Amino acid sequence: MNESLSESAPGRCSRWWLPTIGRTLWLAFFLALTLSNWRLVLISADGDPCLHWRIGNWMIEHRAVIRVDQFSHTRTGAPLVSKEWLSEVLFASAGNALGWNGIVLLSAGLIATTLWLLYRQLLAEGNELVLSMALVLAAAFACSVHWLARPHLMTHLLAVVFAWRLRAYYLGREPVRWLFVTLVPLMALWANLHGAFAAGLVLVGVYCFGSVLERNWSNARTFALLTVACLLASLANPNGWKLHIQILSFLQTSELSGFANEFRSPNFHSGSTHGFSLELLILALTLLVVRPQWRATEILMIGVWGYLALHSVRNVPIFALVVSPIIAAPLDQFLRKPRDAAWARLYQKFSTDTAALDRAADGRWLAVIAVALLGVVVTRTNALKTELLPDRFPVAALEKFVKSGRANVLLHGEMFNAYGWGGYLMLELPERKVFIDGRNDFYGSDLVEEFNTVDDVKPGWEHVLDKYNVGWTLLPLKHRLNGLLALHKDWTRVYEDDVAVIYSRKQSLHPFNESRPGRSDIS
Amino acid sequence: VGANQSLPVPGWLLPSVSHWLWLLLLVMLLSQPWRTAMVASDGDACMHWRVGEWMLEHKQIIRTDVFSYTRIGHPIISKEWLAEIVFATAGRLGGLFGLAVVAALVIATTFALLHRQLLREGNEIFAATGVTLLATWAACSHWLARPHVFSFLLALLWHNALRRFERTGDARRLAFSLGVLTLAWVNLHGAFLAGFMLLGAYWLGAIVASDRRKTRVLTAVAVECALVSLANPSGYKLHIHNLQFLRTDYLMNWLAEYRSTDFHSLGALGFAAWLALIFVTLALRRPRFTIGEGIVLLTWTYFALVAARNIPLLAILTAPILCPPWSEFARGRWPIVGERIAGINRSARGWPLVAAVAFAVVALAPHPTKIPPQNWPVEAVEFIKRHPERFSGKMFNQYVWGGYLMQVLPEHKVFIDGRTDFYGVELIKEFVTVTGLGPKWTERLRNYNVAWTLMPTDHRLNLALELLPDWQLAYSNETATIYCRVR
Repeated sequence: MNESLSESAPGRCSRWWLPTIGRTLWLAFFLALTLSNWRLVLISADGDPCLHWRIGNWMIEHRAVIRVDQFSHTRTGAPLVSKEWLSEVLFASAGNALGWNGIVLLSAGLIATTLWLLYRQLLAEGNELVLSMALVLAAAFACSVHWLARPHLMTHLLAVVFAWRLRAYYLGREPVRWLFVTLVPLMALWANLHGAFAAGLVLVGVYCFGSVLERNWSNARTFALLTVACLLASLANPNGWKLHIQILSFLQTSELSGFANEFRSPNFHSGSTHGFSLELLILALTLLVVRPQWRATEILMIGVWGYLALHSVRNVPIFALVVSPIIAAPLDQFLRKPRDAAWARLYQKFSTDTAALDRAADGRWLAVIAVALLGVVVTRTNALKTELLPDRFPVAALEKFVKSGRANVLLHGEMFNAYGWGGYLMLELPERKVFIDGRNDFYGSDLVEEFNTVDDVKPGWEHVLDKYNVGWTLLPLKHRLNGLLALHKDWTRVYEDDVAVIYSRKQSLHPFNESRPGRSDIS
Repeated sequence: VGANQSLPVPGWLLPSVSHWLWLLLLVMLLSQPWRTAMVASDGDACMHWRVGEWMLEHKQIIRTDVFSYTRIGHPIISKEWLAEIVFATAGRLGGLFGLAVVAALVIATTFALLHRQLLREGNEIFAATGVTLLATWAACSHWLARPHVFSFLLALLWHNALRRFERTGDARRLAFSLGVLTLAWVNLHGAFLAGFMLLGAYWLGAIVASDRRKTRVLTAVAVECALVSLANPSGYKLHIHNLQFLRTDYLMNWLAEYRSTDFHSLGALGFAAWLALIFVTLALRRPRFTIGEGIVLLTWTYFALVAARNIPLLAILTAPILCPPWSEFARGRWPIVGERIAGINRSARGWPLVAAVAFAVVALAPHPTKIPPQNWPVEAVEFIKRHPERFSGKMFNQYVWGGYLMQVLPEHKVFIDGRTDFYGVELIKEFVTVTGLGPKWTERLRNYNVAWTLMPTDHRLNLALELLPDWQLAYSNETATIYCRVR
């Protein structure tokens, strides 16, 4: 079989055009994300890509890490603990260089590299190529629930690196020195790239606790030391220990963590969680059919990340990335076992052929050429137009009204905006400050509650708007507050399109206009 | 073990662990705050009571709607007429407490029978008791005085019959058991389709295992059950109605109990513990399940993840599958103590004592059960009854309050209540548009000739009606507010 394959395998001259499976995976993910409509989803699913670009831009302009809020009128000047300043600078640099295409390229590169690293890990642990490829595709499907052009993609990448190095040491394939040399500096980097660096500490902590359960005291000591070293390294950020306090208090405040969709439990009715369902199915089938002999640490790792993924949908990608190698080992042994069954023979033949083809392939130049071509297309042509989806954000409202001269006459006071639009407005309307945006950890539970009072139209909504001198609202067409403002004599609709509606408080009734009559006078 | 000799008291004075479990659950569910929670967590307990009461009054099964003005006269597919009559009879006898007694009896019996089933299948007593208690914890999130509690009991009995067939191969007994159970289930609650899914799991297992006899028997029993299931007031239309409802994504996402579990809530801890038991059993004990058992475990875990209302069924159906590996573990750890207690348990005949205590609890102990006025428009309803002349037109009501209003304000027809499958997507969307102050919400109220609204005081609709000149505040307290149209 191998001989026949090597006969038919491409020769040295033609190897350059046939990429290895690993490179194919990287290219496929990278190109699919950059060239398909997925690139629009990456930047338009919520307002946070805009938010991070805007903040990163501020830091580039001022050559300083942001310390106090500049973008909201509700908390302007309040101290800001920046959880992801370095990522924001990177995203802003990419955005400044190539516009939204730059941010898409950076995000697609991070996603493709994350999955490629997972693939390399699976191969390095001795799993067969076909199985590794299949598990990477399943993991990609699960991860896709949270593929957005935001700093958390750095966490996905670093989670794979951490999981790989820790597992390599755990399986006795890496010396302890390398563990410290690689992971401690990476933790310092992670603490500056994204707030979920705590995931790295959880990974190390699980290995530490698992080693205790396994009564492997040497490993337990090593992992305990590594936990302390990583914790200390994570202090090397602009806010020191305050960053940790901020993250812990955010995670403990259910009003805040329950406010954002991505912190809620997965909705298994939704198509976006089918990837997670598939991962759980693979895990369940492995347990039922293969009956693996996992060690305590591996069981603990699956249990902890399984619970965290069920708790918050944003943990689903980390679950998939961390658990795939643990599932792969027993599955690989199971599939390699010689059997008479037709499916087993078919799998083994396919696996052997693919491995032989992969050995004969290279294709690094093809990858370089593809990326270079994409670079030329992005920088030299307008063929790849990447803009925010105009039906997701109030693009027309800003262009046709808010930025026009009429707005200066009709819009007074501060703005009340939809939560999901805050980041977009920060980027596209820097001359106005937002009421709220995606930084709910910064705004805190009190302001989020006040926002909810207005957003859900609860008693006291007017008081909140008065308190913050709100003179106009910018909300989605079908928003419930519009239904109320339409009836209110103090408010006038000044703009409406298919996406957004703007209501303005009548000028004579503006909260900071002294001539404004009281409520009883109006009635 | 000479259990009889070592009994500390006569056998008739000593209840078995299953009896104790039954009694404990019954007493717990009939004490506060459980009994109020079972009847007042949503409006459906009252709604089923009202529908059942109508059937008792008219001595016929309900065929068209008589409770709402939005769909009055429309044909009704009654999914649970028999359970509604049972609840209504209990309501006549004991009011809301009567509803709580029926639900508590069914729930306690289900879990006591689960415990007994685990023991009869040869499980060790500590393992059986531990697994039953954990199942009880997982299932308690959906303990309400509504017809679905009958599905708990029937699913247990159905699964028990299938497992007995797996062990003994007694096809006649299976055919008889499932035929009778189908007849009861199809008239008691709409979730009878769960039984067919269960049967399908074992049928598929038999096919994969190439067990021809088992496949033949299960196919024949499935056909028998399918035919028996037509013996309901709506015939095959009931099946179509249920399937259509389950395929309506909008309603599945709208109804809280059909949504996926929120693992942030304390109520999900029991489910999380059950998922942990499944995972730990598979990863640590590495049991060999039959294919049918594996399919049941996979499918019902997925169903429970998709919809929170399936969690009790997951616990009830998978407990017998998960218990044996832990029995083996417990026998290895505590062989003597376990066998001794099991011996005593086998000799215990104290059910009359337990029944007497239960009767005393139900009949003699004081048991005031009221709808809590802090969550329900109790005082507003009294106001409406005191001033009937002011509330002659049509009412727009909060969804959750619909069932309660059907029960306490029978003279007024509701806009909507918990019979979501009956109202359908269009009307639910109308309701959502009005309560969300969506486009043309005032016109929609006018289209239905709504003359007054009864909504929670902090609801946005009240804030909007306050701004409309043709609406006037008629009543308001901390719980409910009434607005009336003045012209």
